[in-house]
Amino acid sequence: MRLPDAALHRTPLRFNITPMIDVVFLLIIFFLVASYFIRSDQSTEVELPVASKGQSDDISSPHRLTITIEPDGHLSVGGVQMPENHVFRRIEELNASPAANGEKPEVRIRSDRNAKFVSIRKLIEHCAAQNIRSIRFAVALPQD
Amino acid sequence: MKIPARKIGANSLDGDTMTPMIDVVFLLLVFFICASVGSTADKLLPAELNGNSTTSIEPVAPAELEAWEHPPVQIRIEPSAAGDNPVAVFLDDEPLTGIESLSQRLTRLSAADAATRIILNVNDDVEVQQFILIYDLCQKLKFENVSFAVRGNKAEEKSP
Repeated sequence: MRLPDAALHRTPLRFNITPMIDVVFLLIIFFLVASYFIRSDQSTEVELPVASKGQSDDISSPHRLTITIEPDGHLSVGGVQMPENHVFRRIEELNASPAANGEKPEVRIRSDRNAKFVSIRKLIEHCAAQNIRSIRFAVALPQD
Repeated sequence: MKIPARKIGANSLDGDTMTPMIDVVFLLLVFFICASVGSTADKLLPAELNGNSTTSIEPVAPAELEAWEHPPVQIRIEPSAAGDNPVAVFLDDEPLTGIESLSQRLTRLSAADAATRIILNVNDDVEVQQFILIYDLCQKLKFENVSFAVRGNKAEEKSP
């Protein structure tokens, strides 16, 4: 039987992956942007004090609590403003919760540069009372 | 044999298939540039509190002080009532003209003995920026032992 020429020379169906790569990259971008905004929403925006010896955040310690001190002295954790005694309770919880790989609990203080020292003093006092040894102050490097 | 010209040109790298890929790569590039410009990562000043962190801040007798291997130096920072300086700085109760003067004194002290214990006694009303400025100075001069004086119900001190 003689097959028609058209059937013999029909180009095979090719799966074009370019649009799929397009979509995958777009999805990646979407999730990156979404995660960036979620993360930046978690901490209240403050004007950090300037210090020249600030170190990069090279140690990833998940067993930590970041406390933000606003210019008027209000405290917030994870973008949520809370009274002082609630923050102290969070510090106690941090100390009580078990850490993976024997990590030491760490408290990070992100204070506005115009806030008063009294808030930091109280946090240091409470951390020492809870036997939390590691405290870090978030600072900004001086702009040249 | 002569190969038709259109066969030579037709390969996987032709413009039709590469264009969307280049589009996307540029899009990614633009995204990362925008994201990195908009945000600067926080830098951190560490303060390690040690185990024996609570000690008395009662004045020590001079005779006892001399017996210490590294007698402590107290830096007191008070809010300034007037003048150009935002804070009044005292080094072992001796008033200094400002942070510049403190920097010179501490540089000499650090060169002599970096193991000297520094006690930062900061008034509650001092702005955080001034406290960080002086703590940063101590870190820069590589003092090994910097403590924070705190006021509870009883005068006490937490030492890093």
